[in-house]
Amino acid sequence: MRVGWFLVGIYPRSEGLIKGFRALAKGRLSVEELRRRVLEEAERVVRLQSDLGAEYVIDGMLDWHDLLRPFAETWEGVELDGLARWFDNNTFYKKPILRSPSRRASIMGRYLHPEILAGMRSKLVLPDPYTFTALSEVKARFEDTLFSVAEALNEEAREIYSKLGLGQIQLSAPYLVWRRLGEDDLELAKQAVDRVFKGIGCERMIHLFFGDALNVLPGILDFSVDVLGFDLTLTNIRELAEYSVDGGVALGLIDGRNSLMEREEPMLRKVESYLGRNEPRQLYITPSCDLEFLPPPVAEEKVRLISRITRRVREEIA
Amino acid sequence: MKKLFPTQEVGSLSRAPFLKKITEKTLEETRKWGERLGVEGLDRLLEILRNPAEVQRNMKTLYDYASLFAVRFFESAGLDVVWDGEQKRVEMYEHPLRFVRNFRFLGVVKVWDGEFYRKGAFTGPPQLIEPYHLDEYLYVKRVARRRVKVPLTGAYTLADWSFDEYYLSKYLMLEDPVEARRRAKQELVIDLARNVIRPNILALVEAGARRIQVDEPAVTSKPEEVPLMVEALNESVKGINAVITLHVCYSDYSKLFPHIAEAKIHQISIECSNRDTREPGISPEKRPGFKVVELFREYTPWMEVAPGVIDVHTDFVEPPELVRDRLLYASKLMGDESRIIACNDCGLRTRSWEIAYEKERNLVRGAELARRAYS
Repeated sequence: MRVGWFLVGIYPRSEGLIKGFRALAKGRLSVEELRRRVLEEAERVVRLQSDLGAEYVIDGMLDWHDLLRPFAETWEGVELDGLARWFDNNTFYKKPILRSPSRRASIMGRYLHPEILAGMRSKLVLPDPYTFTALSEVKARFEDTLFSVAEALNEEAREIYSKLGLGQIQLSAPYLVWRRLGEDDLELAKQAVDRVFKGIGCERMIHLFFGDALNVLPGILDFSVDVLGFDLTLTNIRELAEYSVDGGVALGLIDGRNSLMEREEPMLRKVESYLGRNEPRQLYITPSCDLEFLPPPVAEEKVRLISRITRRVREEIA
Repeated sequence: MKKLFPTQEVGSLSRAPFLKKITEKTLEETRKWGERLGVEGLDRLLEILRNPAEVQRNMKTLYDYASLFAVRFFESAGLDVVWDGEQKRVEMYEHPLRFVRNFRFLGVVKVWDGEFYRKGAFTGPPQLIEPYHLDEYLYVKRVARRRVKVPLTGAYTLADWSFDEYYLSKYLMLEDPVEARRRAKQELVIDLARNVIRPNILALVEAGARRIQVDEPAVTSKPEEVPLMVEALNESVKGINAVITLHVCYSDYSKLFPHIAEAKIHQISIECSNRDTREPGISPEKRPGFKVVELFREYTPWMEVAPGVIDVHTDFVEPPELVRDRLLYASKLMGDESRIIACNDCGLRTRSWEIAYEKERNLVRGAELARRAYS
């Protein structure tokens, strides 16, 4: 069994960088200067993961205002509406209005920084198409729009995959577990995920967070992915362990929304209890969700904690 | 006879001109507003502002002046119930938590794009260090010529916007993580209500405050926790002899029901105009933002409702006729015009004083037009 760790989404911006984005919006900072600052901070985030032995590295997604924004700003047939609450967080996203979404250009360059990932095994995080569509205002038939979004994400994924040689592509799918979906909706979500991953040769992951994984079990086991990621701050690991997973699992043990530092021993016992009933092909330790909800020093401490727990899991298994 | 459609503000107003960087322009702005609002001691204020050393020596005095300007701002616009625009507060989260023991600020987190707040964690049971709105109230009480309402952030929102490093650590051994978080949140919110919000309100009421507004913007973000907010609110105001207003904005109000009926409050202040049209009229098509008032009629007919008839997120100045129609429509849905208060959607912090003043003047004019419709 391969044991490793990685991050699952947007890393928090420093206070200076947040103020930089504000200054840009007010015309007090140039795009070039902000980009320089983003890259400088992204390099630190990459180095942190790399030094601590992450299985796959992300560039921190520091210029993603929210999970949907890069696509909403880059694609055709999409407009941006006002602010809407990002699930139950005190964080907001700009709601896309989807008319007939299609990809015009890649998010690469503006929202991804391959130059700082050179020579590393990296991963790409994309929104799950069902989550993207459900969180938008849809101006056409929902199902048609869903597959247009999936198609555009597939084009994005294929291009980035071919240029960067990614180790993993993750779809972030909070909407699938936030509330229980009907069977038909879950089937639609599955087909849309298949569409996104068509022609992708690297590890495919779907990460389910902000909700109880039992909301999509056992249906999610039929999704054509290599790794299923779970938010264990909202999912009972004993109940999760009742379901046999053939591929890999990512256990989101470390709370990405609270500053309390988890103690290592109880976390190890949780992993142990899971492995007592399951033998996944890969076992990854991750935060429960993006770390953007934490101040950067707290996020860094959590990353170090994840790395330590992973090392101890490896030692115990060995 | 009770005045129909009394007017009140919600809380914040952008900083008084002289609390920004002092330049010739801000001095001129200060003089202009001071004269327009009839602020007492304007010459003394301008004298201080012209001398940087005096500014440094008189910061407290400057904040008092800011408070006075804001009170006169609302009074001059004609409002019946006023406050000082929260001129002495950092903002609604950080300000109160500076006065709470067993809480530490950890750093900034993004709210959206370039907006952020300084977030912290509870590291033990929260205890009030000292009542944090008392000085503000005592000053406003001394200078105000109208009735005063004191806004403060409620226990639920303070807890929901914070990290919890204490209560959750007690329950992490539970197998069910959801139950662990539920119990931790319950204890944190109720302790905040008992140990921080309630003593704070008591201090205000003992000093003479008769109107308290509890702000709970976070309440509907987790609908299953609405009963917890209501429990905390009741704990905060139990036995308090004051008119209690609950303010909730930019929320899915349907999530408040039916639990809100258990809240021991007199008024609820809600945002309606941000989701309404700008066209005059009292038909459902023209007034979609006010539909929620029906729910209050159904579940809480005894409660006064203060629907926002002024959208605070736009520079569009609502004509008095639009304000009137919004009030008349809300009255129609409530089935009792005596239970409708004329109010803003939320605080005016994001608007310039010029725009805010025009909006408040029209709030007052619109309420007067609505009154005439019933005379």
